[in-house]
Amino acid sequence: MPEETPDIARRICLVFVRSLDLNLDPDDQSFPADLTSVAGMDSLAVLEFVAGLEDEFKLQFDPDMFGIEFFSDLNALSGYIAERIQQGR
Amino acid sequence: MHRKVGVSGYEIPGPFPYQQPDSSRPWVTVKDVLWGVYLFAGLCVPGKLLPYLARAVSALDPVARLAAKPLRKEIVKNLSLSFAAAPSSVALENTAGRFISNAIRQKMDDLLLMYDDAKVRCLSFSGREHLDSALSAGKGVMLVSLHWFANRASNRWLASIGYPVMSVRNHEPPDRFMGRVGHRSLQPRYVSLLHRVIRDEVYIQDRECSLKILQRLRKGGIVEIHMDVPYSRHLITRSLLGRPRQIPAGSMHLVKISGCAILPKLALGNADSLEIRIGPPLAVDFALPMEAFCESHLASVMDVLESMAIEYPDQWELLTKL
Repeated sequence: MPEETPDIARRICLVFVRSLDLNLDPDDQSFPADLTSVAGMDSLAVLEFVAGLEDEFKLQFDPDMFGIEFFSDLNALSGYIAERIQQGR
Repeated sequence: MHRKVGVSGYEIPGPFPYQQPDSSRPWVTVKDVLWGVYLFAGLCVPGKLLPYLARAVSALDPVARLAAKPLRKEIVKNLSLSFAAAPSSVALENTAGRFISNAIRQKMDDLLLMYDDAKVRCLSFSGREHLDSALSAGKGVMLVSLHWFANRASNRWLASIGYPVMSVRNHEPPDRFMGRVGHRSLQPRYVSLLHRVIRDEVYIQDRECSLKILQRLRKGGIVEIHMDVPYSRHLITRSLLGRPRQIPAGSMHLVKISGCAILPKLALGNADSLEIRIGPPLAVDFALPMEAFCESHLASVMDVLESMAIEYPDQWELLTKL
């Protein structure tokens, strides 16, 4: 059964909180879709976030998707990962 | 992405705002004046005449060596502190003299390399097989190097034979000799001039810097990282030529995430007589956790680069910044 997008979003938040070492609850329902509004990501932080996501979802992002806007948009990320999971990564 | 600055013709790459100059600095320094003359020459001297200008400046080399006495002294002091078995004072003076010549030649090369049809003559390129083999794995190549005077010329030549190399640069490098006018007005234009020379680059001020590097590596491309500048949030202090130095460990994060090969690069000479040496790939243990990965691989990278700096100190631009 394909994983639901809300579950994916929760796991993304978990990775975000973990990779940026934030003192936040990833299950918080009010977690905003714009991740940069939660915490600023510098160049290395984005890299750690990407590595965390790839590790969590066992996939490799298409290099053409690499951009700070994409990686800070929870909805876009969830949608992309859900699609990749459906396609068998 | 680019905006014009005044009518100077130099474009400031990227939307990265410049810091306010330090108010304790003098308004104008000798370096500001030299920079002004240099940038003016770059703008106003027709491209066809630049090689002649470069030759004329090269002919003034002995004068420049003499005029740069304080710099020569500093280099000699640095060298004598850095080598366990200190070379003779004559050898040190010779190295310092060659360093100054190489520095001047590099600046002349930059003026020439601004042009699309600039000719770079490479006399020797060794280690191409290492580069080809690493590229064929499809995971990208990280060339690790120091700030060799010939880096820019070497990358232009490599691009011309089918190996485009992305460089990582500081949009606002610190400069202790620069005045307020230099900082505010000339440095942006100098960075812009270098943008025309280097072309394939990403700035450390760019929040997407690491992503752009990873993107290039994931696409199987080549990126050059200078390991002698602390361009990373993650720094590891290590001795380089006998002095502690902060080494950027962010590059090793990129290696671990991308799975790319690490190849040491040495570039010698200038645009007229270039020599490029690519070393064999360094052994990488991807199973190590990140912190240990960075520590261990930075050590092996720096060992190789340090031995190059010891062999060719006059080719290393940051010899004065030890």
